[in-house]
Amino acid sequence: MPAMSPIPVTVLTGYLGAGKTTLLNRVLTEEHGKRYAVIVNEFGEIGIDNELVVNADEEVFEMNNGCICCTVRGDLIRIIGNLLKRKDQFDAILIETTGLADPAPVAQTFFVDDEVRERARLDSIVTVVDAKNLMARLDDSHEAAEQIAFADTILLNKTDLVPSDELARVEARIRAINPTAVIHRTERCALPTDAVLGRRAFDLDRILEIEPNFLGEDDHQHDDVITSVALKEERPIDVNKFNAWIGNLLRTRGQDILRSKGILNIKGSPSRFVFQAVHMLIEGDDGKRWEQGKARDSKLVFIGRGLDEAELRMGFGACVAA
Amino acid sequence: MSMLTEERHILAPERYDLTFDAAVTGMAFLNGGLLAIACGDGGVRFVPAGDAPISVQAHENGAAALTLALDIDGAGVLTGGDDGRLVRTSADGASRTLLEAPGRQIDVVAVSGPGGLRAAAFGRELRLIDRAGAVTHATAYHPSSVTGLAFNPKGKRLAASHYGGVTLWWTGTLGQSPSRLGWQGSHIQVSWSPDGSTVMTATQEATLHGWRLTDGQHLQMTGYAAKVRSMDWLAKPMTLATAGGDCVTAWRFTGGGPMGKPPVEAGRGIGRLVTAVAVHPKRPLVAAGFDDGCLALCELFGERIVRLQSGDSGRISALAWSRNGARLAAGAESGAVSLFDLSMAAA
Repeated sequence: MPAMSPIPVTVLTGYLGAGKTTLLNRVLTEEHGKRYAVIVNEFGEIGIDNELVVNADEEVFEMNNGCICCTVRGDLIRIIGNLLKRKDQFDAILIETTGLADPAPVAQTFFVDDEVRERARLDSIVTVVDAKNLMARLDDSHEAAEQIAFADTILLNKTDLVPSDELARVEARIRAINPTAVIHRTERCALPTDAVLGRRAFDLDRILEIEPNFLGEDDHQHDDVITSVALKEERPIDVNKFNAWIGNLLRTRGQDILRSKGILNIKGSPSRFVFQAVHMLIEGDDGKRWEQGKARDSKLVFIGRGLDEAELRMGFGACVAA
Repeated sequence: MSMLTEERHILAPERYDLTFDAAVTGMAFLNGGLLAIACGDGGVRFVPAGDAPISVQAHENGAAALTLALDIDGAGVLTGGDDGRLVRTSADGASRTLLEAPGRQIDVVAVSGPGGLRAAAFGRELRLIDRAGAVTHATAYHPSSVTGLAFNPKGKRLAASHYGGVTLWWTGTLGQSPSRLGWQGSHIQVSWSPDGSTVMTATQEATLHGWRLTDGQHLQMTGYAAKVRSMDWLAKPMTLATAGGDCVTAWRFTGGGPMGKPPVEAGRGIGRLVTAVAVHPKRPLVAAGFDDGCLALCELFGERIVRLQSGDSGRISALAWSRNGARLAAGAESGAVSLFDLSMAAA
């Protein structure tokens, strides 16, 4: 058995009725010749058309790793370990979460457990939202905003049920929470499979550009608890100052900073320094070399609860190299 | 006298190699001496000494056999699969499904010969099955998925590990009046000491935790490089040999230990992660399998170590000694199996 590259894992979140099962079945039944394992939650809707469907209990465990405290999905560690014992391996694993699930423990499982890390990699988090009901869900629960905040890809589904001006308002509200996710407007989750699978959204070498896509100011101002802050700096950054700042920031405020990402122009380095984090779990590395004669702007994006933009701006500003 | 003194036999023991095209997930020797092997292709193989294996498809449609245990009568094995089945397979090729839980993975199975009982878990559910194959008791009274099962030596009690500790059941009244051994964290497997005094777990955070049932004392062992995926006991002097480090870490439960005493480190110098351990049934020796496929025989209370094979077969996932300790089998995630005849040395 040759050494295999880690199996990509796609996490599917969204409220009950938003269209997760529809999306799953679209992916599974499309003619692609691929084999998928599907992990569904205990309250999963029936009728998933696939040879291997595993029921999971969504057990969220606290892990105590020295200085960081975080939560993981204990059942997933086992289920994925078992799936990898199969002779015929899968092209990808799809994980469907319950409507009210916080995506953080699922994502963190792929960073915290060594055995899972070695064999599976988080490809992306896909959130399906119901264009008709999203505004109400955002007003009456925090989970809806968290699922949007964590997403790499958002399916704004059931667009046929909503007039276009309303759709624009919904999209603007999504953008205010998550300025970097790719948004697809769909009816019955119809979109090409490659729009949701094989995104490599957590791969550092894919973070080449951060172009926060803030739409214009919303007509109706919503004070969503979860917001985003995008920062840009033209002057080179001092790597030591930055590491100290971001390390301390995520250690102390990581509970509230859901996701963050950055591309940095480090003084003295010919290459981009890229990082991404889920709560307190951060990964960073040298990325692609800067092109000659082009601007070398450093960019950061934070998505979180109660972010203080002025404080973040000041903290990052202090990382500019002398 | 140590068997390792007869080095010429040990260094080049008779060996028989097999390769399957799926990961080895469990192994045991039957009473008659056949080696039973469970694989990720759902097959159970019975290997007669030096002969071609007999193959039985215990789990079908691409399902994997996730775990294997020697059955009560010693003439067959139980395998749990990711088809949600618990299957009994005997060397004559007969197989029988004892449990079916569609959509679940049965990856935790335990058997008590003295108690004449089999136990299997899927999610929070636990089933106790008698010799005849009937489910006698069932419960889901666990705070999270059951990750390990261990009978006490007499088969009267059953320990189930889970997040937050261990639930202890009396097999006669399973489902009623459990007692709980609590300790923070995710416990990923459980083992009952051969003298019945202590229940040990391995945790997600790469530690061991134990409860001495006689006086309620907690045992806590740290310092592992990885999760302890494999542990085995030497009965006398009572010692727990564990994987999870770059050598076998062995805790002596005598002379006031294991707390406050450093563990014995057996099989140092190979420099790879130990992924499987199996204590010799008669001597203070432990077989250690490493994550690169290396295999070594180590004295538990001495310095000597003998390499049986070098690392080229991929992570060792299962080890088994024959009842008399004359033969040792090692299986790897790559599907490679090596069967060693150490009878010359054992004599």
